[in-house]
Amino acid sequence: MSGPDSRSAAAIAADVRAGRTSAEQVARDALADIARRDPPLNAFTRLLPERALADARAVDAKIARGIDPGPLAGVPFAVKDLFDVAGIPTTAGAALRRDASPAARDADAITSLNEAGGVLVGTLNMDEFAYGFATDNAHFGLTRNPHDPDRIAGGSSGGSAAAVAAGLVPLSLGSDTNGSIRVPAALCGLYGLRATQGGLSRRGAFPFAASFDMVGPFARSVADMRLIFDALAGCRSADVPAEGLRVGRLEGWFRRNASEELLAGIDRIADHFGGAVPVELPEAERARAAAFLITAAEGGNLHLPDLRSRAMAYDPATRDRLLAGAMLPAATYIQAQRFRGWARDAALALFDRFDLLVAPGCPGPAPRIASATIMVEGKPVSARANLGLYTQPLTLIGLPVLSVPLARPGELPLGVQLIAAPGREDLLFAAAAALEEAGIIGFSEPVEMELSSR
Amino acid sequence: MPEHSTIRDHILAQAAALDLPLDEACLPGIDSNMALLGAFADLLHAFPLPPEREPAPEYRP
Repeated sequence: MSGPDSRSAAAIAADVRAGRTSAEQVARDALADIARRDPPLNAFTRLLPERALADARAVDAKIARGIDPGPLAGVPFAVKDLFDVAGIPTTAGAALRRDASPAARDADAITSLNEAGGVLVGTLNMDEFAYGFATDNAHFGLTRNPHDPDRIAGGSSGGSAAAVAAGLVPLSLGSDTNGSIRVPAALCGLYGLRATQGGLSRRGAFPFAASFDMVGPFARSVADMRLIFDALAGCRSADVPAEGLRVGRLEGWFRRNASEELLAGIDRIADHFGGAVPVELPEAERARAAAFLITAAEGGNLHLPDLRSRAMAYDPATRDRLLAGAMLPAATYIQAQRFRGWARDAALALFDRFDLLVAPGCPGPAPRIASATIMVEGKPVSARANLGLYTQPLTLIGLPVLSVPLARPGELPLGVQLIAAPGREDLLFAAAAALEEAGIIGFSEPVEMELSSR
Repeated sequence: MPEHSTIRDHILAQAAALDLPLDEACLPGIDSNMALLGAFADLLHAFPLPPEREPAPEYRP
């Protein structure tokens, strides 16, 4: 993006803190904008005007009393519909949870953003129980991609990605079990972070597969991404140099099925760092298989009581996957968890030689809604189940991964995964900032933004 | 590859062991998902692991 983005979280917070506008005015403008432009996109499942205005007034009151309102002062944000919001049911994208008891308190991630001055304005669409890469929900509808409304936004945090890409909010929260932040970030042209496994509190986020579940943010710039990550982590990430990084380009599994444009973009990233050494992630295909199996088994087990009593209330696309997972043999689940230990050791050994690994985020641009398939090994396969081809092996290991958008103004977005050793999110931010500064990566405004007239 | 009726019998037996009633409408979707999981499982079981390799999750009392 050229020049400062006046709608960025950093710019909004600076304006609110300096008194150039009020948090209440920002919240009112955001709520009106969402009400006007979201319906054809269907990113939001619920607006929270009373809460948003109350939270915004609290920020303004702090400023009036000379109290620091925090680094996200007055910044509107929205959350995937699986985060607990005090006083309302957490649907997790499921009709069968519409009548669930209202949450007693906010999820920890929401509390962290509120404490930093952020203002929650609404909840966002997702695949039912986060099981899918399409955000095509039988109960809450399909979320469309702001870059082309005839294409999917990706999933399962598709509402979280579409809302930020369309400029309805500068920041959002999603969750990533197998790629549910990184896939929609890639398809909607955003920055999306899956932090180190276990690095952020997931209390109050509806679970899916305990081995892999992570909450995480979406943003339109590296600066905003770092701002929200620091608020979630509760501390400022270290400033580290991007010069001299030893970069590895993941080969084999991570090149098969990837588009030529995407591979050319990865070459540009490698060139920026003085070239990248080709390297294999050991047994990447098996790592993906293990992630797929562990997710199926843990998800199936989690839902077994409801599958026994009211399976037909589920979205059929989710239901049959969960039923199959519930019946996976224990021997297979345990084998996958034993393989996970092996895969972790093999992957961590790579960081003796490299600081940063680079891989595609998705095989290509967002699939068309009508086809709902992608080509893998020359065959059309379900996009809902297979868009995580390149994200799932990394899920298994638990490494921090920042999905970044290749700079492609006027074209459909393509995403790249930047990968570091556990706990090295600071390196990811440093590398991404350098690439953004060089114009190699960056958010591009959607060309087709005539959503309200469609 | 087992006969289709054998796979269906296997699914129904597994479900019965879990006290999991299955609606007829779910069976084709379960079939295809089980085939997918089965292919992934074959891939994984073909990889030899030493006996001392423990499952990844750590339990801390």
